[in-house]
Parts: sequence; C-alpha cells; structure tokens
Amino acid sequence: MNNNKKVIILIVSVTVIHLLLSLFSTNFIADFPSFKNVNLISEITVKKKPEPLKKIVKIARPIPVDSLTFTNFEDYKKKGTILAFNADSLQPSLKNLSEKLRLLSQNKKVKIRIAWFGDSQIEGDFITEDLRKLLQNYFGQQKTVGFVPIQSVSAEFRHSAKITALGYLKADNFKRMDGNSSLFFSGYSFFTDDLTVDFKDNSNQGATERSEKWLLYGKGDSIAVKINDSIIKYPANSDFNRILLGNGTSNRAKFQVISNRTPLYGISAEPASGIVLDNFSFRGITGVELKKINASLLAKLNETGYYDLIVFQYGVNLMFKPNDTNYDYYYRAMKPVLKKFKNNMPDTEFLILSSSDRAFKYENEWKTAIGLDSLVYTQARLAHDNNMPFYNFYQSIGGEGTIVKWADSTTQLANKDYVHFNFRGSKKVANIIFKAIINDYQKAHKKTVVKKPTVKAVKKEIAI
Amino acid sequence: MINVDWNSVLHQFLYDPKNPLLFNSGFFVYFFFFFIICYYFFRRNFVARAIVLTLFSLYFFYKASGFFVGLVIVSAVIDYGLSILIYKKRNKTIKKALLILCIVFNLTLLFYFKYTNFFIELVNSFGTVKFNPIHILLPIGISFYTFENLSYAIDVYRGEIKPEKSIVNYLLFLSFFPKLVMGPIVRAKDFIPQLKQEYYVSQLDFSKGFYLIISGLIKKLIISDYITLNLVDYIFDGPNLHNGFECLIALYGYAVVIYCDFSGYSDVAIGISKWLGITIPPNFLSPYQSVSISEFWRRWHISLSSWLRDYLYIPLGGNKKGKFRTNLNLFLTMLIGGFWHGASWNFIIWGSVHGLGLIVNKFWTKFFGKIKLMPKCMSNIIYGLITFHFVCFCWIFFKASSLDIALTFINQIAFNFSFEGAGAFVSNYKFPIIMIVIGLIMHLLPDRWSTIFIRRQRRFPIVYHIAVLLLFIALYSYFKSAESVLPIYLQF
Repeated sequence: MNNNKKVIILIVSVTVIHLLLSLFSTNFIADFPSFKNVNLISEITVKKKPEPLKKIVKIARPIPVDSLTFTNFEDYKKKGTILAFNADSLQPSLKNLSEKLRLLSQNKKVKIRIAWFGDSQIEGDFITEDLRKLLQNYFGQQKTVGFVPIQSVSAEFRHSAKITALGYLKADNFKRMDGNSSLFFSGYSFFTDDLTVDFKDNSNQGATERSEKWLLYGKGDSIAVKINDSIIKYPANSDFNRILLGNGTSNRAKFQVISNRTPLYGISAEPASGIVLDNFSFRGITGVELKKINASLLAKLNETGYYDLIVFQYGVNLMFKPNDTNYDYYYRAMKPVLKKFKNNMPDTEFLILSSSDRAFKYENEWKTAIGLDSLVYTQARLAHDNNMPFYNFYQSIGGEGTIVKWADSTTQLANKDYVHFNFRGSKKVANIIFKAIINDYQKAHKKTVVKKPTVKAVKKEIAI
Repeated sequence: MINVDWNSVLHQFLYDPKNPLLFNSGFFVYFFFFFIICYYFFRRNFVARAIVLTLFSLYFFYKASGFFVGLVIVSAVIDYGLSILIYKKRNKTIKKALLILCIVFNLTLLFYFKYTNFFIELVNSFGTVKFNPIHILLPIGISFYTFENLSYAIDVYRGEIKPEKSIVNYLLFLSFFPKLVMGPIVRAKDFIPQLKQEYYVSQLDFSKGFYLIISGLIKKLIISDYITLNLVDYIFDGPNLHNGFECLIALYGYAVVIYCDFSGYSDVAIGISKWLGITIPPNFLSPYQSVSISEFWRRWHISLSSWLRDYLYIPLGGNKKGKFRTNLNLFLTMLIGGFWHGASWNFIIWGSVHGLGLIVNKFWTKFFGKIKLMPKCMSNIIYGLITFHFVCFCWIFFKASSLDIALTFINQIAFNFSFEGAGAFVSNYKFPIIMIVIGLIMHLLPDRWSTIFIRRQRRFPIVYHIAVLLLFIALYSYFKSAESVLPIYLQF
C-alpha cells in the first residue's frame, strides 16, 4: 500500500496544529514560556519595544567638582584613560610610576615593580606577558618574567616561564588553607620536606645580560636551600624574605629546598634595574579573596618599597547570573579589602581596572551582560571612594558587544565562553592597556622624554 | 489580535545571512508544508514533479546561501554539457581531455572558494612574498556537489552510466534540498533513476523515514547542540584552563557531538527522502561500535569514504601495485580526504593520522589477525576501546581551532591529568555529561533493536506520529531556551 498520503496528512496536521498553537500562544505562554522559541508567527508580528533596563544602583553618586580640567566621577565612563578622580586630568594619575618611568627613560638605575592581580583572564600570563614586553621594549629595558609561583594550575601552558617542582608539596591557597597560613599575592603558599625546583625564564631566551633569580618566602622557622651541592640554611623571621639564587646570564635556576614550616612563594627573575611586572592570577575570584593576605605582609612589602604599583583587574566572575544588575554587595565586600591594602601600603600606588566585557545568552542571542554597566559603575565608585585611579577597561576594549564580536569573528580574539580572550585577543588588550599607561606617563613628561620608539613601533615588534 | 508586520513577512522570503535556512528554522515548516502539497499534487507527472522539486530545492539553496545558488546552476549546466560530450565523442584522447577539463573546472571552483586563503597563508609563511588574504565566503554544499559532479562525469567517462538527458533531473541531482548542506554525497546512477518512478512510499519507508527524521533531529538539535554549547566549546577554546580529566571528558563529549551532528543531519536527509519516495543509502552505521580503524571507515560517512575509494584510491592504483604503493595510496587518500573537510593543517593532520592508522591496522591484521589470544567478545571490547580512543585522539585535530590548541589539549591529557576538582566539574556539568552518556548509550544499542522498532511502528496509527512530532517540537523549544551551563572555572 502506498503511504504517500500519510506523509501529507502528517505534515498538514502537524503544521496546522503548530500554527494554531502559535496564533493562540498568548493563552498558555505563561505556563509554557519556552514555546516562544518555536512560535511560527513570532518573526512576522509587530513587536513591542523592550523597556529600557532600570539599573538598581543604590550607592550615591559623588558631587561633581566644578573645574574644567578636574576629573569628575562621571568621567569614569571615558575609554582609554587612566583617571584619578577629583584630580587635574592634565597631570598623570599614577604620579610615582610616571616619575620612576621618567628616570628609567633617562637611563637612571631604578627598578619599577608592578603587581597585577587578576582572575583566569590573565592566567598563563595572558595579557600581562604582552604588556610586560611592551613596557620593557618601550623603555629599552631588559626582558625578564618577574614572579612565578612554585606551582600553578596554568604552569603547563605558561609560555613566559617554565617551572618544574619535583617532590612532596603541600599547598595552601585562597580557597583551601589551614589556619592562619601566610599567603602571598599569588594566593598560594607552599610547604615541602624536600623539593627539587627547575626554573627557566623564557621571556628573553639567548640574552647575554645578567638577571637576578630570587626565591621568595614568608615567615616561619627557617628554610634550607641546596645549590650546587652546598646547603645553606636561611632564617625566616620576617613576613617577607628572599634569597638570591643566582645572578648570572643564565635564564635558569636549579635548586633543592626544604621548608616544612616556612611558606614558600615562588621565584622572581628580574634585572638589577628595569621593569618587573608580576602576574598574580587566581582562577574564579573577584578580588574579595585578597582579604586573606596578611596585613603584616603588606606592611613589610611597603617597608621594603617592594611594589610601586598594584593593579586590580577583576569583574567577570561577579557576573555569574545573566540577570544580575545590583553589585552593592560587591562594593561592601571589596571596600575593606582595598582599604587594607591602602592603609598597609601607603607608599604604593593602586589602579583599579573595570571588568571587561562578558556575554550571556538572552532570547537565544549572545549579548553583553545586562548588569555590566552597573558593575563598572560599582568598581568606579570603589576606586573613587578609596582614592585610587580607575581605568574603564570595558569601554577601552570597545564596550557593549565587544566580546561577542571577538568570539564570533573569523579571526577569533576571544573564546566561545564569551569571557576569556585568546592569545590574539590578549595581545590586542595588552596593547590597549599599554597605550593608556604611556598616555598617562606622557602627561607629565612630554617635554622631557628622551626619544624612545613610538607606541606603534613597539606594537609592531610585539606583533612579530 | 495578531498584528502582522508585513515588512517582516516579505523579508522572510529573502535570504538573510544571519539566519540561513536550516531544518530547524521556523521558515522550514512553511517551506516543507507548501512543498509537500505541490509535490503530492504533481505526483503522477514525473517531469512536473521533478520541476517542483528542483524549484523548491533551488529556493532552499537561495535561502541557505543567497546568490551562490547561481553557482550550482552554472556548475550543473557545464557538467551536464561536458558529460554529454564525453559520452558522444568516440576518440579516447578527446574523451579524456574533456574529462580533465571537467575535473579542472570543478576543482578550480572548489579550490577558489575553499582553499585560496590557505594557500595564500602558506606562501606568506615562506616570507619571500606577501599576499593579503581575500575575503571569500564559502558557498554552502560546494564540497558535496563538487564530488557529485566529479563522480557523475567519471562514471560517464568509464561507461558505467549514460548521461542524463533532462537537465532538470541533473540540476535536481545536484541541488536536492534534503542533502544539500551536509550530504550524504549521492551518486547519479542511484539517484536519477528514482526520479522516473512512481511516488511510492511503503509502510516501512514511512516508518523508517519518521524514525530517521525524529532521531536525527534529536541527535542534531538536542544532544549535539547542547553538549557543544555547554561543555565542548568552553574546553576546546581554552584547554589550558582545564586539567587532563576535564579535557578528556570534553573529548568524549566531542566524539558524541560530531557523530550526532553529522549523522543526525544525514538521517534527517535520508528520512525526508524516504517520504519523497527516494532512497538514499545509509551514511553512518554506529561507527563507534567498530573494532578496527578500517571498520570505522566502513561505518563513518560511508558516502564519502566510498567516494574516496572509487574515485581516488582505486585510480591511484588501489592495492594492485605492490605493498608500498598500496600503503602510500591509502595514506594519500586519507590525507586528501582530511583536506576535503577543511582548509587547515589540522584537517591534513587528522586525515594523515587516520591514514597511518589504516596502515598500522593492515599490518596488525596481517600478522596478528589469526592469532586468538582471548574470547571474541573480550577482544571486541578491547579492540573497540582502542579504536574508539584512536578516533577520539584524531578528533582533537578535527575540532581544535589551531594546531597550538590541539597540542595544548593533548599535553593537558597526557601530562596534566588530575582528578582534582573532578567532583565540582561533574556537578557543574552534570547535564552535558548526562547527554554524553545518553549519546553513547544510544550509539551502543544494537542496530537490530531500531530495525525491530521501525517494523512495529508501521502499525501505529497516524495520531501517534502526529503526537510524537508535536512532542519533539515541545522538547526542542525547551532545549532551545535551556539556561546555558556556565564554564566551571568561573564558579569555584
């Protein structure tokens, strides 16, 4: 028997029922909201314009300062500029950094050290590796990697340095720690009864310049380090200690270490003078976790003048729900953290980067998170109220829709999770941040700056 | 009261690059509704029926790929004309020259659209001269209809078939909408004769078509899309953010995704064809049940592997020119097959590794094939697992967006394997993981079960079919709006 009629009956029946359901969907859409995805007439009906998002922002806005060149709070929306609120916009926002960069540009022997905090966006030295190279190139400085933790989840794919640690290793971190463990900026501290460490700085292979390789550790009883068959025991009385492992032209450091009750942090490869940019990535955090870093460690670092600038780059992990628009809780949680840093490190400058773009699927289309503006506002307010400079990272990379565009473009710049930049995107982002830092630096030194390679030339070099 | 936006109505009939026509587009429901009525109406007039099918197919092509529809028409006209000339000419040299002309024409089109930028990058990598990449869009289905054109002209040249007299039938052979976007690759000698037969759908054809369409849509739109969006893409985009265990789960996930996506589309195409009275041979036969890599290629994308065998491997000499040449032919066939899938080194590596796998498989069978070390069921499980994992290994190159990503992915599994955070990972991705398990279980069910079910389904009333199709629409609507599973590294 020929069943071709059955095909027609089936198709016509299902189409008619489907069409009728679509026509009368208003009667049941409340009980079955997902029907809108298969509504046959949704594409051809006149749509009501969606109501604009009402931001729930409870934190009060600061009163504007009445001056032409002074930066008002509302300027936080500006892209490409590092802002110091209520300050002269013609002056650099990062004054001390700017001054030290000037000395460096005049071939003075100074060391500038920057701590760059972030989440998985900078894991594997993404963004910071390129930014470090850009800054070191621009000021004609030696290329070194800076801080590398003894162990990290991203060690395998980090190109800028390689570290292998063989032996027993107990780790405390932001998420899991015993008692009052002394965590470093990396969010980790390590203990070992015998560890063989092989470290290699890949940031400038084949270089003939000397670089210092330091082992960093915290407060405990003591540590024993074995280099070239000689074992030396070092005290660990201070909250922050370091041992020079080597000072030669080699980019490697091999040693054995025993540190049962003293927290080990990592290795820092750096020049005697120049620019050091330390990557402190910790997956999945928002910055609030930094409260677990002891105040005494911050004070000690301040005392030794270890860091010139500390940068906080967080935000994407705060947007874990697509419809969140209120980040007051973040303001309340992050404010004491920033205060703690500021109070204990009065000689250090700080910079808050806003969140970057991230997207969610709304009505089957990936779009920038609806709460992003509100989060950036909250972060700007944190910067303002703690008297820290602010950089609108979100607007600087392109603002709304950027991450979707970058993830969906033929030459992908971001991953399909619509959060993370890939290596190409990271390079691009590093260039954008670099430009902002140089613009800020040049505000004060346009006249005195010795001729250096242009931003464009440095970018070209890094692209190669 | 429904307020119709007539501008949108008109817009629906035009090609929209952002929303190309697919089986799951809302527009396809209208398209198929009107098409099936017209097709049924002209069922007794073969010429009119073929014209209806061709016009709807070309319109489908237009809605899916815009004015590239012109390319398929031009291609059909030229191949149609050349094939007639090849058939008519008595002089062998002229026949051969015409065949070469036909091959060159088809491959030039394919190379221009698919491989130009790959070769520009290759030349640029040598660094002597630099060319800017050209902005070229890839016409939908060009890889498939190029192979269909070639097989047709070669069959005519070999005297295996007579050229088709009706250009409409030939155009329909190339543009037949169910298989247009993702195959299967059909052969003219199988397809065109069916256009001259009565529109007949047996009870079994109807049941089989229904089963294939529903199961194909579930595989493609529910299982494959869900796992891709909620697990596989996250991990393949940034394997460095995940440990070996997580990468391995993503790899198993991708094995299910690629199978469900590809075979799901083929099943829908074959099922719709069944309902139109046209039989297209199966394209996938539970390939992960294979116990050797050569068996895998007899079960995976059969229309492509048989095409490569008949029009590449055998013309290269097949297994008739000694052991070395046989292995070389095998390797080259797989390498070219890999390159056919896409213009990148990853596809070349994917094809090459499969080629090497086939060679090793041949040696293994030769030396150890007759030795029985364990019971057959046991050896089948072990060889099946080895084959599956080899295929999975190759999928890394197939899926990764660059060689760098592929190598990182392998590195994570090989040297960074850890169960740390496995609990949190499984808990976060429980739904995609459940989908992977469902996909694998469905795949491992014996084929005869579906055959038995299809036979039983023949007797079910039409109401059952209507209810199942409506249920599928409801299920699809749910999964289309299911809240995305967020990447785990944002949450712990």
